[in-house]
Amino acid sequence: MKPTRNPWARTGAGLAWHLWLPVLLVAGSLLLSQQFSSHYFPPLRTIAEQTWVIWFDGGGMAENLLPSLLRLLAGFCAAVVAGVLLGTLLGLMPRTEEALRPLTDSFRAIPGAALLPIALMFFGTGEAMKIVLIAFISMWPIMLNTIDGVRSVNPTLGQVMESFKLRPLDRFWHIYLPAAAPQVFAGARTALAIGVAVMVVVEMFGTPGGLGYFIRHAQENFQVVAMWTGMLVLGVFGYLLNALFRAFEKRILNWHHAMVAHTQGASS
Amino acid sequence: MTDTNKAAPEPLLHIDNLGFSYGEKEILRGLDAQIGTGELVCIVGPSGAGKTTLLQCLSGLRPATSGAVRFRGRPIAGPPAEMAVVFQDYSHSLMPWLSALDNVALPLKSAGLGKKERQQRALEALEEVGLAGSEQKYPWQLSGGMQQRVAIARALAYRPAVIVMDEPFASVDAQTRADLEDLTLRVRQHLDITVLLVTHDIDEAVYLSDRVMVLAGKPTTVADMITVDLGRERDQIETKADPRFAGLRSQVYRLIRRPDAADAALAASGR
Amino acid sequence: MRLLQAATVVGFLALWELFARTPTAAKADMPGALESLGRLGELLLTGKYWAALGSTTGSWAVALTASIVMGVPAGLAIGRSRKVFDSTKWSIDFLRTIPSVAFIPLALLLMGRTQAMVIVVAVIPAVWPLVIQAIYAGQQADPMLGRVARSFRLTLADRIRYVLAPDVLAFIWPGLRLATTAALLVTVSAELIGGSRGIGSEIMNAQIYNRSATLYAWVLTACFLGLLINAVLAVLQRKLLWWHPSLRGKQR
Repeated sequence: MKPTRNPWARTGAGLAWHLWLPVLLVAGSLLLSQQFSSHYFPPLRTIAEQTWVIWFDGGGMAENLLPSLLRLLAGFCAAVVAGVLLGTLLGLMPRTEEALRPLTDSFRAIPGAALLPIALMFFGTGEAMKIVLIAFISMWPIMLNTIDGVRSVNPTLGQVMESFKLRPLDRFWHIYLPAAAPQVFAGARTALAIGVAVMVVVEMFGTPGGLGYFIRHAQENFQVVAMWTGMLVLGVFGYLLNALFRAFEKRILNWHHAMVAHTQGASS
Repeated sequence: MTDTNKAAPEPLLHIDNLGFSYGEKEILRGLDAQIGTGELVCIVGPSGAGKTTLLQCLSGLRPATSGAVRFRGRPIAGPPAEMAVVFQDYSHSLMPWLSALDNVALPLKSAGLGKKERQQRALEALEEVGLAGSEQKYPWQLSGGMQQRVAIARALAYRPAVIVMDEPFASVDAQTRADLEDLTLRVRQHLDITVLLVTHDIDEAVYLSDRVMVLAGKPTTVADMITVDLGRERDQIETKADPRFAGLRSQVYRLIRRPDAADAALAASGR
Repeated sequence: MRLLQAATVVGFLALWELFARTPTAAKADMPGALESLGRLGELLLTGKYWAALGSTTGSWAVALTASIVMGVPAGLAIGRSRKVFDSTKWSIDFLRTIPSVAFIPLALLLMGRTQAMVIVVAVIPAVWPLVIQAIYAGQQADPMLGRVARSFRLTLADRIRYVLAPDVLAFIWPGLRLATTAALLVTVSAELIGGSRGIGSEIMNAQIYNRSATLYAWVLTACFLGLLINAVLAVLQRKLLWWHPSLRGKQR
């Protein structure tokens, strides 16, 4: 890039380049949907107004957004804990891991939604089914990445742990977990996306309450505008969740990013 | 020539007929040596002689396939609590996600020390190696020599009776290397610690040691244990200019060069 | 190790068989492993089974192909230009985080219980990872290699075949793997929710009519399809990307 003298002008131009398309898209769809609105594509203004009415004024947040958030968090956290623990164990026991591979490969190969009816039969349509399924399906990428991450611990570090007699718990917290962290986070990012998808699907089939339930219910009753507001809220929900996760990752992996930047800066 | 059997009456570390094989391939055969408290012994030998393997047997990281290593009279069956290791590969022996201070303090945590004492000891150790002020830096923000200082500080903070160093200065530049050699001498003097150091550099071995253990042959045996009678005070320029230094240096060199010298030396020492 | 792995599978089936006899499993109407596998064997002989399996596989394949055809060129174009990249960054970041299953009800309203509905919904999650990776490829595809190619006077066709394609493929591969998994997950989900023909709707039907052995046979089918797809990807990776440093020697 050519150096620009005025840094304000540069950030201003950068911001403009970032902004013009989103603005154009929103403005365009506002105008277009106003003029050519069909039954299935209501005007954006109507959707926006109804979003306010249903979700903010009418308590939709507490009724459908909060339950979704809570069960996603519960399922996702369970997936992280289980995935990291199992992944660390299997990572440290390569022979066991190889012997169990047909099972782990099979479980992660199942398209998660196929397990929904089985979960329904075991746990019914309530909260347990939803959380268990979210956790079970989103656990696999975390576990597999943890296995790889734990194995990436340098052999020299293995000898350091031996010779300084680090306790198993200290090895887990201070060596294996931080060493695997970049890969664990990469797996968790995938897991979060899968978790949100599974959350919506289980809510569509489970007991009332939740974004998936709301959207499905609106669709089945041909409340098209309400359905659109649900999709909008879900979109923002997914976006914010992802942004939050990235901020968290950036904070935790501070050392990693700084190190990468440092070594790249030194080598170039 | 020193007769190894006449070393201190109760050696700290007793290597007794130690052997090691990788399956069929015999690496080390019948190694004998005794290392007394407070000694600095360098283990020198050609590359591929199994120096690192020997060191791993000595520090309990690898079980010997025959013979034994006794520490304070007891056979070693795992890393002893009174021993600390400094590895050659400093860039991988430090945790990049921990600050210098935390790197030094982590083994103390595992040893069950309280937070305050860990901090205190780690700070002291870092100061000892001349890293006061860099406690909060991450290893990758430090130069190679400074990283190895952190690794040495980690070993010192552990307050071991013996520090075992595996080619600790092999991957730093010459000036840093000289600095670290003098640091090792000073620390050892100051804390009265026993040091075992593996190197392939003959100058380094003679400069640092009270005694040099020369490895040679295939499979590797102890060619000789050479006493370095240059006094405890060493100086990079003066010591190395000493004619005795040159003599010792060529003595070690000849032993390493000719594997059969090992047999000659054994015969000469009357065994 | 092969023997041990076979033992693991047998052990798992035995555990399943045992577990199926416990009261917990009985309450959930869980069939044993043998019964489920037997049912699968029976299904294998019916045309209906293959029609449903073919439908799911077809939807998945079309969705994936469409994602590649649309996503890769778009991503490359975006990656080549800093201005285009800046312009589209926020829109892409927002759009790709919307869970694709959210579009299923809308697609159902617009297209009904058709295979087209399934395909459209499956394209949504599959296209983003490809776009993202293609953007990286566009940004970073080794300029050095291009210069080498030019200095040796390679023809355009050879340059694409030997220089550009392998380099781009290496970048796109991780995205392709995510895309295949996501497309399959959403294909089955859309069938499950929308009821269009395929593994998903067969599973749902079996559950509604309480045919639990059939249900488990279909879940096994879904698992085998996933395994098959992963195996094909692994073979392709070995054949096409064996030279790439980050993938060398990796089996996963």
